[in-house]
Amino acid sequence: MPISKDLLANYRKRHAAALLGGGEAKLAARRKKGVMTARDRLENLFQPGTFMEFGLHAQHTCTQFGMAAKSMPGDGVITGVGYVDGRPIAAYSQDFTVGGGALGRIHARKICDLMEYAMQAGMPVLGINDSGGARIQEGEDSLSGYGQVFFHNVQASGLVPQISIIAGPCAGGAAYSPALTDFLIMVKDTANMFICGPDVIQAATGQKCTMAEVGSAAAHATISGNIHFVAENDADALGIAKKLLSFLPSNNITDPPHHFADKLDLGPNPAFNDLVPEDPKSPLDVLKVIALLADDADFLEVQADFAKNIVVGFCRIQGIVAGIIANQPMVKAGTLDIDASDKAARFIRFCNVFNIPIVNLVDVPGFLPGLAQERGGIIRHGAKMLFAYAAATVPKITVIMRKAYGGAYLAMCSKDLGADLVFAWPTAEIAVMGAEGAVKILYKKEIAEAPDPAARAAELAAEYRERFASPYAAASKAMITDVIEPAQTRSAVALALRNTLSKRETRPPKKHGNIPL
Amino acid sequence: MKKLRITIDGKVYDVTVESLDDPAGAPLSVPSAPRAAVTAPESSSPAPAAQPAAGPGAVTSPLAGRVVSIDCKPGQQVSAGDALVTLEAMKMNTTIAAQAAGTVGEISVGVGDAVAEGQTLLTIK
Repeated sequence: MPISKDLLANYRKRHAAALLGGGEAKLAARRKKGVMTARDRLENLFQPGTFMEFGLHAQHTCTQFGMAAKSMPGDGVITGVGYVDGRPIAAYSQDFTVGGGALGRIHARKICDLMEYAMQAGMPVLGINDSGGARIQEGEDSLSGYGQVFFHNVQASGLVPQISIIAGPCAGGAAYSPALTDFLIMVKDTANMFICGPDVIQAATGQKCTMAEVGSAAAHATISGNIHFVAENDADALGIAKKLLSFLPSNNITDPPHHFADKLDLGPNPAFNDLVPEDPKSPLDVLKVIALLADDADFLEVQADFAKNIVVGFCRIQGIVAGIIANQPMVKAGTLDIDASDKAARFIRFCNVFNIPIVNLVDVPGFLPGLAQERGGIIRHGAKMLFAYAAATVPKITVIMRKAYGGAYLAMCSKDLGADLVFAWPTAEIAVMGAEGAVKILYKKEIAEAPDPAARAAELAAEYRERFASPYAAASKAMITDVIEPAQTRSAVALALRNTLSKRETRPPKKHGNIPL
Repeated sequence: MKKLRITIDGKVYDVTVESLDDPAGAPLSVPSAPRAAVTAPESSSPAPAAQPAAGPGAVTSPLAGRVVSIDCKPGQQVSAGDALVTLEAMKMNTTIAAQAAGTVGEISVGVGDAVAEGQTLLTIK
């Protein structure tokens, strides 16, 4: 006996209607504007035919404000699991064509169910945000839904990687779900994200401002530091997400996808030597060093436009996935400031929790001097880097390229902060402070009593520099593993990573440390 | 009374100049210390870090330092990425490059000047 024709016809009709979300007209209008539909986005993300949908037939439960008769296919969000590069990824995509993608009780429930599944199965979660906000007709059910999503974001944090794409509006409380995830990708022009928009700001404070200033991708990428990547359009955003996933493990108990080479290339690369300027005052472009260090110069920079005095991102070094944290002397002389410390500390903690080895490239003259920095809390913010490095148990490899001064040197993962292996170029200057400042303290009396104090100070500074502005004083005290020629950097780091991958470091159990937030 | 900013040996002084033709004016006052001295606000809560006002086209200094060289001339056409000014700060030279193409307008600093974070170095039209 074959299945009843009526049942099958009914199934096919319901299935097709649900797949159309807000209806063909609305979907066509979006595509005409060059914006993908919620389902287009998932189809673009996943390998063809691999998407298993959860809750296609879900509907809202609201009966007030004339909602009882209204159909909301999937309750405005598509959830499920599909494959990216052969690995399962849990994803949800808010459907703006269904009630403006607004979040109601069942909508939130679907997202939370997906996250619970992803946590148990150990797979990354990708959320595509495109929503008008809370579904006002559902009142406190909608508010409660947001709370549940936030709670699940926090449960998943550190268990599975969480990536958010902001593809449309993401306003008010809705912005806090992406903010709780690991990486935010925002689409230029079509997306905006804010807690209070220009109208509310003006009503409350009288201050006039524009959406571009408050909630654009550019504002978040450069000023607020709320996002990690800016995408040109939907397809670009999904491309960035896939690229990012290619460096990440599926969960916190697996290793990242290393591509082990059969044999390591341990030869020198003279191009490194050519990058180092002869004049110690000429800045070195650390992005060029990273391009030589990374396999195929393939480096995914994270927060490229925010706190550019520090560079962070992912690459492979002879097949081994690594997180790079590097001072950028081209910007603000490579000093550490509040934003740079926040950016680096968060990245270090991400790498640590997902078993990604860390490689630190050091050329730091110190913390940025300034009233705004001191009053903005550089002590508290700089401390985050110290905390994050000292707390990290993944392999930590440090290369001291040139300047390594004072507390900022420690904050870039010195041996004392737990670096497993430390290499220094012959150009390294490892010292507690600059020569000029040091001699003023060490020889205060002698300089004051000299016939020509300025000349004596310069003489003493030169002596001090000779003695300390080199890696050999630190090397003689066994504070570094070896002094290497820059040309050996890639081979030394690759071998160091290979040697250290099996590292196991156990510490006394505790709920968590108390990082100075 | 007119407020002027003068630079002597790389130190910046804010001075108030009184016109002697004006009998009602206050006496000439020249602060003896460079502007580096900062007084604490009276209120116990710190004021937010205000960005110094910079006009349209102003190229500002990203950090406090000293001008090592002026790498452009007024009226010169520049493209994005061209070096405009070189500063030395924290024992490192920092090149200030043009963000966009344009014509160099007024250059407000000279070699050896100490500049503050956010201070206008020159304008690009």
